Amino acid sequence: MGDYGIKISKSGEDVMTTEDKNLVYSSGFDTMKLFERKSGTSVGGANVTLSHPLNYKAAYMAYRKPSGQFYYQYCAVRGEMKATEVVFSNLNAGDEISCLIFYNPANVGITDYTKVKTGDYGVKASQSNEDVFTAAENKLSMSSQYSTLQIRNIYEQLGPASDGTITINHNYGYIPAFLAEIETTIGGRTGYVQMPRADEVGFGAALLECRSRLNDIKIVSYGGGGVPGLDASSDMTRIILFTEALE
Amino acid sequence: MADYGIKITKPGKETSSTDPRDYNLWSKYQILKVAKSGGGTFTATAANNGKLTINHDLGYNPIVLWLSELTSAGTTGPDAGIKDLRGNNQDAFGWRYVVNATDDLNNVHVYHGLDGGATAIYDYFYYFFYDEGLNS
Repeated sequence: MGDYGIKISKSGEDVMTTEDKNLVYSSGFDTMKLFERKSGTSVGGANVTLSHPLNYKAAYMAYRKPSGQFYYQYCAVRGEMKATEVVFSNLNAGDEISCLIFYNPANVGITDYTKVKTGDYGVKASQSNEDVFTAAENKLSMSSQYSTLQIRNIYEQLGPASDGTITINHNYGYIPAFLAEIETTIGGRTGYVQMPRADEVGFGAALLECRSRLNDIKIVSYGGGGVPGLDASSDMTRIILFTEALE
Repeated sequence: MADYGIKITKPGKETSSTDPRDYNLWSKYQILKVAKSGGGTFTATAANNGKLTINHDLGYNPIVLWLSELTSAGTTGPDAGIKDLRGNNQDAFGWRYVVNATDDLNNVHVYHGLDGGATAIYDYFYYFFYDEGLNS
């Protein structure tokens, strides 16, 4: 049997010859398949527990909306993914959590995903050498029954300076999920480091964080002493905004 | 040249929508494609500087999703969870930094805290994506 599939290249790229990084999609690869977005609010500072039916520790991305604020941050979220729930602690009263839970596992040894969505409709593409009619979710590259994690835009910007802020307007009209990195040095190694960025030693407050809002995204530096290893005149911040919303 | 692609909406939504939230898949937007995933257990020590290096051989800095938990803090067992440790996120239960080194485009370096002791043991799981975190 031949090995069929789907490939979609970026505009202007030849789908037959382009590198993998220039493909918008290929059924030859696994993708981050979103099972669901769940949210909860801390009552009186208590933990927020969000249940899920997957029966394994699933990959997830979690964000906190501090009480009374209008942004979601990547910082100060202590999430703990278990087989049937994810628990968030270290919260203040009124803090809101938005959590993207994926079919993709977060621990080794998961051979087949739990099939929790049923229905016979839509489009499915299996990974190479897998029968699309019988493949479990982890052997599919995509299915129209759930969202795949997609990049809406990537922004790169210098800085910010110590105790400074940079704001990037996206005007989406919704609060997007994101990943953010800062070019800095840690352990003698220079590169892109995921935010939040804090002191390397011990346990302290973040010095740099990313905040996602309705129509913009902010990188905020604070703490007075500056961000270790950051030269705001030459180091870049990099923000990846997803099509997925946080609320 | 026309710009071809695929749109798959969520139930009840129309393909005429211009809102990406209405779609399960829209090839206008790049999908994160998993290049490599895996996991294991890592013991951070002063000798190894808490550094774990994972090879990907992509030749560029990929987008990374990294999850880890500090199991030596007494949180092992079936009820233990995989934590979304990000940087020193004000979490007393371990921390880590994921570094996409600009002078090493074929490995991801992850620095883990020693949790105030001589060693700290982490379970981890990662996804590296074919997609660069760059405008390209």
